[in-house]
Amino acid sequence: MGLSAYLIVSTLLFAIGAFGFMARRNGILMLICIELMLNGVNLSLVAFNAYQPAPAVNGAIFALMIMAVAAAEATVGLALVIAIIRTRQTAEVDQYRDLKE
Amino acid sequence: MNYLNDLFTLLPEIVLVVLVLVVITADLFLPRADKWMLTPLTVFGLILAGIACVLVWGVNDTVFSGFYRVDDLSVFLKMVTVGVGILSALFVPSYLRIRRLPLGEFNAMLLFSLIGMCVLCSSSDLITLFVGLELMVMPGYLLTGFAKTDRYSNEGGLKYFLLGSFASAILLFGVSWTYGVTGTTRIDAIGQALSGSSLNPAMLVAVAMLMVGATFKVAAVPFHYWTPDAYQGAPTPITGYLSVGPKLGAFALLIRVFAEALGPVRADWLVVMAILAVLTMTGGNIVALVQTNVKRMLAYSAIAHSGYILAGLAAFAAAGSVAVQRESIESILFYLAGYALMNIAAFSVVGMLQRDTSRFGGLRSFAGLGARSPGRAAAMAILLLSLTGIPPTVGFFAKWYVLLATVDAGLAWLAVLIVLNAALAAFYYLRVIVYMYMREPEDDPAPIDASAFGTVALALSVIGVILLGVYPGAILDVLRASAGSLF
Repeated sequence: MGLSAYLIVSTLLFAIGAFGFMARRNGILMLICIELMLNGVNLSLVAFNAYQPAPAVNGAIFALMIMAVAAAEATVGLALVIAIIRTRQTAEVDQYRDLKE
Repeated sequence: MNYLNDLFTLLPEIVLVVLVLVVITADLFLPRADKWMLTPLTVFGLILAGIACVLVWGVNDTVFSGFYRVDDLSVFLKMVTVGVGILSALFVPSYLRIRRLPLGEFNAMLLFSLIGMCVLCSSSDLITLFVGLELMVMPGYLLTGFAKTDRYSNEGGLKYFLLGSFASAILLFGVSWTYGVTGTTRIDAIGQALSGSSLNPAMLVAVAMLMVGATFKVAAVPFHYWTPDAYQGAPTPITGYLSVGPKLGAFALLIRVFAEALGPVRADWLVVMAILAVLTMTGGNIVALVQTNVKRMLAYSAIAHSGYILAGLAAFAAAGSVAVQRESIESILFYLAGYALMNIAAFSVVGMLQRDTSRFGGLRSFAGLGARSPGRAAAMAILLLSLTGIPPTVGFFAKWYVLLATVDAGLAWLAVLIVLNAALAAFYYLRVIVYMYMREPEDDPAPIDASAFGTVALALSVIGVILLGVYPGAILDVLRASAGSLF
């Protein structure tokens, strides 16, 4: 199994995440879709790293960094979702229409 | 390897990190009545960080095995960052106090975001760049939703967060493929790997993704949809910070990634960048024309200003010689510094008119301000003239240098569009001045928030706007050295 197999899976993961982000209307599910996109990126980074001609670690380190940042991002995102559910009683982003022209 | 020396070059960041810890600890122990002391504490620490920046000026060294670079470009951007921090720390407190929002948390979030900007400006590796970027924007999401019982603030925060994270993911995809094609995450090594050949399809995908992700962060049209909502929802003086701080960082990212790593293939992204610049300034200005809410109007004007700076980047890409390339980078840096001075203050004046929390900074609340508060009205008038680009203000020279760069780079049509846009923008900026001086006040005028810190910061901003407008030569040498560290 070559590099391209990993890249196809990673791109699919990313695309499913991106599609889900645009199709879903629930704040928490959108957050999950972003995580899916980041996982796609992680997979491609690790695959690229493994297939470097010379021994390399940068891609793997990058993937670890992304995992750490994604955890922080999920925390921030959930905090914001909880705050807005308290004032609106819904997580559906379609209902958030106070800010407009 | 001399790690002590490496640590010395990190002095501004170290000062900021220590300051965050001190602020958080002090916030724990200060009684409620003395919380205001956090503001002078923060400003004092930021001044120390500014002095630290001066100390590392001219070091021009790559440290920590090539992950971090302290060159004049990054130090200049850090100085602007510190200035942005000082102004924000002074403008925001009274707005928060009126709404009973916690000051300690705000200062900590602001400082974390500033540290992220410093890391971003100094990164010479895509890994550091990404970590700095996220450290910069995440406190920004929280600051947008800072008034957590306020519907608007909540909504702005969540929208900013969702679209910002989406853009980060797209940017990362581009970064990953760049790594795959070039086999390195080091920014200068990417440039070397790409030079001398045209882009292969995989790298083309990567550049497109990088472009989308990065221009999302500077609110370029058509990736600007989060901007007006986030800027309108956030507490007003915090919007001033958001419209300058993260944008400064995003342009540092654009310079690092596009001018440095993708510099050798700039012919491939020139056209897209120029088109984005035109769309951004025109789109931002046209929508700003029809706004009656001054806060939302300034949000769209912030988009338009991104367009002018992107034009500077397009000039870099089109430049035929190194001299013109340097000139365009200098013009971008000058614009960023000038924009930082005028935009935070302009948003904060709107915030000062929201002393009564039920009011929403509409155009009518500016009616008769010239008679009710001459000092603030004059300051706002100067800031608006500067945003328009009328001499002798910093806004004029900012646009002037970008114009010069675009003309020298052979993009005369872009220069013409910049001038037309500046004329268009004059309409909505001057409308506020007309309201301030030529309309009678409302029957029940909005009370004005006249806190000492805010007044000091407003005076500092206006003095800066005029000084740099009368004598822009003051920082030209600094700009030259900064832009020079790229070449």
